[in-house]
Amino acid sequence: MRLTRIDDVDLNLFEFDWDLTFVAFFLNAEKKVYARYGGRDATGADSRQSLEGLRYTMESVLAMHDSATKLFAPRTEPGPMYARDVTGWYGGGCMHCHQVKEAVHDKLKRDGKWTRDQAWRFPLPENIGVRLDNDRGNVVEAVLPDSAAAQAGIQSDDVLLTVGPVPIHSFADAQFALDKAPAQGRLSVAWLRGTERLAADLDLPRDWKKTDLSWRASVRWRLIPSLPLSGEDLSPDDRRSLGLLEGQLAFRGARLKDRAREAGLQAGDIVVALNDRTPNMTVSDFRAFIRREFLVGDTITLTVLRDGKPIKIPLTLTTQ
Amino acid sequence: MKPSLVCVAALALAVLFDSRAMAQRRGPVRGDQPAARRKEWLASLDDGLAESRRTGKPLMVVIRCVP
Repeated sequence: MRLTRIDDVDLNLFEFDWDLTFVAFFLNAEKKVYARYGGRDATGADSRQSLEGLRYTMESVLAMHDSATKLFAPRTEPGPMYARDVTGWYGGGCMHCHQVKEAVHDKLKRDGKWTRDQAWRFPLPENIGVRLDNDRGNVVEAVLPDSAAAQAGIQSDDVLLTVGPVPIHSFADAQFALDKAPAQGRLSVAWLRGTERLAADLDLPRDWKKTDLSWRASVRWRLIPSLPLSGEDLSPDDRRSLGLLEGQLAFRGARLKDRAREAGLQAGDIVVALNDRTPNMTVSDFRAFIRREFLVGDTITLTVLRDGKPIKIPLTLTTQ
Repeated sequence: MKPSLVCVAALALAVLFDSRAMAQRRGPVRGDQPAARRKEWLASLDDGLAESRRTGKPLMVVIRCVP
């Protein structure tokens, strides 16, 4: 069946990544959810979906439905919640799903329950170190070296069974499970290797949920910061004369916005470090890095060279 | 153009484009339910759950923005 109006949907039953424009749920007649299908990353809307992947998830769900020991994804909240409960919107026009998320964020802030970690919803499986096969959503295509998954012993071609309490049939299930995982701590994972069932706890470091938010309509204008200055990368000759390494961040500030001037930056300052580190990147890369790694309200420290002397300038990030 | 006029113009354009976008979306969304029924999609969760109970089959529920 197909639902096209988010305002009629019990958001606690159909809990998903509200920045998506498509998602499929699989449930039984008692409204217990077997699985989800959908999801994307910053590279494109179809980056993590395929018809073959949908078919695979459907077959996996049918096998679970026919199984004697059925597993269901747990509900986060027992009672129903509708968009009108958080937005005050009682129908009429169309509501985008991401607007629901914005309203939920606003309500959390009003209730004093907002935390920075809540910006990083529905992290990618890569955040724990696994890349899942697009056409077989619970099969590990690759394990990232030195990741939590690698340390736990997960290997390519392993089949994820559960992540935390969530049974895994698809990429979307993995994202849902990771969304419910702690911001820092341990996460139980079970998987199948051939016919052998294996399990381990993953160690999740601080900020493990951080993911590129740039595609998300719900946060694009609210949480993603913009560096209030741009500039030109220094030439090789200029770098040599200042004793800077080739490739090191070094750009001459220009096109400063008021908030950059208010923080103490001046046109002509040469930005050479961020939070006492000297990354290898161009000014363009640096601006993208700021948008990807920080949130509105974060304070960064830029080190600039002014008249040949280093000066540290704290700068609180804002939107455009 | 003075900054205030730019702001007013930008606001007017934003409202205009938003209205057009809403109108463009409203038609397909409201027109989707009969079209979906012709293709044997159900558009009511209660109907879907009843069908699931009747057949013993699991239910696939697709939530999507524009048909």
